[in-house]
Amino acid sequence: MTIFHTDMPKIYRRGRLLALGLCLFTQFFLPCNALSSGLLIIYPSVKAPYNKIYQDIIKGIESSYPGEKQQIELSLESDSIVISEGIKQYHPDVLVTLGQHSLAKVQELASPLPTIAGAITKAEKPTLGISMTPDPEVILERLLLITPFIERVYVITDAETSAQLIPAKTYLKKRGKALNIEQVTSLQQAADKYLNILNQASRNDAIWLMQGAGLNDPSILALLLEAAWKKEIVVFSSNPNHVKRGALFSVYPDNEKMGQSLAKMAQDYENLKMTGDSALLPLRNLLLIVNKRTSNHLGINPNNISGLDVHRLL
Amino acid sequence: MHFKRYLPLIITFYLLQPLVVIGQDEEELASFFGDEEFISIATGIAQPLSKAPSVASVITAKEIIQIGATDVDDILETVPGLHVSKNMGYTPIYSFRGVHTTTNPQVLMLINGIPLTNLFHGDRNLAWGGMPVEAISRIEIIRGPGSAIYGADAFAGVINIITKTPSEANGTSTGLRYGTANSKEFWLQSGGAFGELGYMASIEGRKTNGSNEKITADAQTLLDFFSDTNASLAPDSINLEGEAIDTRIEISYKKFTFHAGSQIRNDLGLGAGIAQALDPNGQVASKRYNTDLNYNNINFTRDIGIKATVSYLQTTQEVDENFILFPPGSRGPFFDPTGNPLFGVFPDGIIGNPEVYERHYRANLTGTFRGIDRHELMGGVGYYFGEIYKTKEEKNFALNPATGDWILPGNPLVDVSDTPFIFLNENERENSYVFGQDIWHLADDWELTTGLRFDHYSDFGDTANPRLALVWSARHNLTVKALYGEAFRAPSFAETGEQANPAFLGNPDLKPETLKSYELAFNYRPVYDLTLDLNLFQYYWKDIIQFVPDASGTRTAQNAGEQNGHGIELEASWQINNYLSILSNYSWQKSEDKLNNADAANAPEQQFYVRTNTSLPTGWNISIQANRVMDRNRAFNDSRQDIDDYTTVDFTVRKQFLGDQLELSLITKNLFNDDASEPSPNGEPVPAIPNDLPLAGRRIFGEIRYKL
Repeated sequence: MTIFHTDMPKIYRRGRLLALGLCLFTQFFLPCNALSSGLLIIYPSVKAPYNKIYQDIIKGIESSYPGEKQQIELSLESDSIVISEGIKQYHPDVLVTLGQHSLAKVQELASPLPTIAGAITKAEKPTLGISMTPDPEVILERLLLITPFIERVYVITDAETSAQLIPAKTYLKKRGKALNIEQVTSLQQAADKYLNILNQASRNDAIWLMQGAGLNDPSILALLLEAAWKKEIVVFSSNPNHVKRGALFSVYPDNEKMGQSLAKMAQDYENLKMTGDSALLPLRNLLLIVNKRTSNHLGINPNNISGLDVHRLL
Repeated sequence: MHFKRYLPLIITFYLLQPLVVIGQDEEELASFFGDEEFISIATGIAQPLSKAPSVASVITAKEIIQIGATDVDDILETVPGLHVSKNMGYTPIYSFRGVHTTTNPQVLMLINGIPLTNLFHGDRNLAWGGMPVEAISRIEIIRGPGSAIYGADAFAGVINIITKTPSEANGTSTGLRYGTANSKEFWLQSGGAFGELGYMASIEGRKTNGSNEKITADAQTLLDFFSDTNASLAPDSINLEGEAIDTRIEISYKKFTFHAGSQIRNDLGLGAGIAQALDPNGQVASKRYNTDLNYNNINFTRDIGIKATVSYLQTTQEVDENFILFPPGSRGPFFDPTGNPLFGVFPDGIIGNPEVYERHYRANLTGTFRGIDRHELMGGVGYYFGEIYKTKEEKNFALNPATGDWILPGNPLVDVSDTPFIFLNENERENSYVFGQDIWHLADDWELTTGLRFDHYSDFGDTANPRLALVWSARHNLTVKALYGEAFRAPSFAETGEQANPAFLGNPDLKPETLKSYELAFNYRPVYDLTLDLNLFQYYWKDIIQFVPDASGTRTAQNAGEQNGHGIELEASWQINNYLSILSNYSWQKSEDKLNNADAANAPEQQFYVRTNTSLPTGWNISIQANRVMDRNRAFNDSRQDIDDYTTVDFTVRKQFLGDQLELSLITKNLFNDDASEPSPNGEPVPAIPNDLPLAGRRIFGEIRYKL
């Protein structure tokens, strides 16, 4: 089950402040770096270009983690013994796993070492780490910057994803906007709902295509994007692929920054010996991709969106 | 025995479990980044195609591997409106939309944006020897003129070859290929990073015995008839043996990128011969060295981006083994006014060994400005200096500069370098330019691009070339582009300065060739994974430089020719499911030689291409492609029948093992051994090679790739 702990970022930020304070205090007695003594990164061997994603995350971890860093690349045939041997050899304080496969292998070991998971979407057991799933708040924040005129956002999801959207709803409500969550169980229902939404939607409405609900069938998407184009309705997505097809914008992971966040999490863990609640945080290190053709059609000039780092234009 | 037979199956089964698990990781990553193509862009491995409105095609490293391409020409032939033909030396003619000449200076070929053009003939020189593909990240091909951006020679088309970045090469990989004609190829490349410093290094080598296709009669066959000799070597095979070593280096640090490369060619056969008479011994060589340094900062300030480039290119055309223009036993093409041969038999044949050495320096500064609402401005300045710094020639015919007498048959080679009797003097050219472009978002769904480039040349003066592009997003899935562009082609030094040749003389008063082109392009996506393109074009090509005969028979370069043409290109690309894709294109063009009121010669009027690719998660990849080349006219005064159409079918099967660490492939080209040939030039009184230039028949290669 995917666990979203929306209050966590604040706790996490407070924790970081506390860690910084502690670090400043203790540096009179010992070097700050001595607190971070060792980190072992475990990641799977994947083919190009996927491997570049892991490389960039690792680059981010290595750039901001001050202590010893070691890596183990899990090849096809390697099993958890490779990891236990790595632990024996390097004596790390924290393990960082990237991807589902590495996490599963580490969990098989039942090692007492704290584990921080990155580049996954969900964890079977409670796990501390950062999910690849974009934080809905960040996506909505981008939406309100690009199209401040939007008053209402429609999203069609399944039951599981629907529950995760409550914080997003609260986020919009605080800004005087509404999130209409439509829960469906089949593709047919989704198609009907999209049709209804489009029929009643105005320029102040936007449609949000959610990731992973299995409801974004290519044929539905094609019809939806066509109708939205005609009625000039904003459609944005959690999947960058949809931008190529005509959605206004999407976000995708900033791998290096994600690595830096994982490293900070590892440091916080070491410094404070964090235990207890283990939560998979949604990803806040995101880059923005905008479809220039669609933004021009909607009369939005992405060059002029102040304070927004548009990473890619398609 | 049984165990051996089933071993691959057992291994596959054994590997299946972890493969599936790791495959999940890949699938998950893909779902957050879109597809593989987007991952490459998002992680900076690849840059998206430049957004300048034009009719362009992009072919990626992945496609290059899938179709089993072993040379850039294999890739370029798949592009609509472009056909790769051959001249008598078998160097490629990139024939775009009916613009087809023997030396092919109307096409600009770039490596990482730096021109490969030679000053001598304005082409990529006689010693080309192909170009391997392993270091290539992608090739961008623009059909139609691009002088407003690229300057000279971006005329009929632009081919920009972009090499792999450090992250794209990623790790160390190697490979071997062996096949027909004892062709051996190897490559080794490595890429990675030390902190902010990225590096990519690649070396590729090949050696081949060439093709054993035969020509039935050659220029000497004709001379034998007139001079009562029996010297011709025809029928015999053309000579395409050769060795090539290519190296590429890229070093990147923050906003700086440095490239260096070399293309060394040795022992290259001369195809059907320099003078269209078979020469089994003559061999040409070449050394090309290039370097460039780029600074690219798209966020120099909030609204300003800057790109600065300096580059250097050095090229040579050298003689490895004497060029035997006409074989031993020939009396040469030397006749008195009554038609009798002037000389006796040349026992070593008629030999001419021209060599050319060139250097090219370039500097360019481009700025972009985003500070004006609804406008994206770009402007820049640049400077070019190029020189033929050395020419050399030895020959055993014509006048001896030392004595002023004829070099007679049997005499040794005479060095005519640094004398008025050499074929070409050393020479240089300067070019400075300034350009600007504005992309204006006229209204929602409408975008107008206007661009102008002004070039000053030290030898032939000034030229200004505009372009206009109106892009309309007509529907959510339909984009319409209307394009206008002008282009110029700088006269080559052979055209302005060829001398001491009784048959061809240069003309220093030549103007550049010009081209004006109108295009209308439609991009339509009727369903989610199907893209259709329709392009209509019309062009007007003027002041075509041709060698025009005078009363004495000497041909002098003149801005004489004129050609107009129009045509259609249709393209379809359909990703049927996760595994199967189909790509097809059809091109039709009709061009008219206005000078002679005849159909333009040699370029195909119709081309059809289709490819299917099946990529299975089990590591199998199967690609089949067919290419049909049709309706190639003869020149107005060529009495031969139109050249036969041909169809080649290529089949490539690949299988990956150990994830993607090991890959084995079988590549078959011209599977059905179709009798394909390219037009040989017309001649007087008849063409020297009457039965055209044969292309290779069936070729089979085995390939192994390994990632360390």
